Amino acid sequence: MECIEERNESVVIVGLQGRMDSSTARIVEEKMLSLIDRGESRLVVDCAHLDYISSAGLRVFLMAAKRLTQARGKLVLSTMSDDVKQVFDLTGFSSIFQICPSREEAINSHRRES
Amino acid sequence: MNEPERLTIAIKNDLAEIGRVSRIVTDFVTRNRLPAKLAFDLNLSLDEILTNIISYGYEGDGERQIDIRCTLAEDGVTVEVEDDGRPFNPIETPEPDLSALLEDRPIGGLGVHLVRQLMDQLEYRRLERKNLLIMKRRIESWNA
Repeated sequence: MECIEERNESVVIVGLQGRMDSSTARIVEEKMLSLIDRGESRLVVDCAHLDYISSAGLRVFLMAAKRLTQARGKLVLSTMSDDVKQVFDLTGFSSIFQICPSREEAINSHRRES
Repeated sequence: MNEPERLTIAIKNDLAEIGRVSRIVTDFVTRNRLPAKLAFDLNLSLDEILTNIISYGYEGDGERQIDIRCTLAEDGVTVEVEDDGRPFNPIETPEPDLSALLEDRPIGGLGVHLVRQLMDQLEYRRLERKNLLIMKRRIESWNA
């Protein structure tokens, strides 16, 4: 599991690569928490290379989104594979997260609110 | 298909084993020319069940063994998980509230829900000092 951080003006993009399961979700959790702790409030998680997610991965996104809401920030997800999207659909997470078809749209959705 | 195809995997109670299980199950699905989507669903169900057993099933930190058996038959695929951890019936886990707002969503409780969604049939048996969970996915729903 790898997290690749990039910045586009005020938006931080985290590109995920690999499998997000109970033994690897912690890597993403630490990355997201360090960004939030350092004051970043506009986050995009690009799931284009996320091959797999379990409930342990969903838990990390939920926790990060709650923390960002408290900090008046926002988490937007993008470019999910059909397999990963299905996990969001089956758990109702598709309706509580903003999921964009492309990274650019996810970045722009932060800009519209600035 | 004449003889049922079988796969057995023995793992330690270590979360890092789940990635290895996933590779073995994916090979089994590919070798038998089954849809890739089926591998994803079987792996996710196994992951959720194994994560529960490994994270909450044992007292102390000694090494234990969990047995996984996959059987491919005419009517579908059956996955059995057998562990010697504390008695736990995942089928009795309450359903989460999927309509709750972000702020009200509890963190956790979604794993067994996913297994219920992905599998057609779940059966739990308490054996002498062991838990046995039998999950079945019928052939009609393989491409669903």
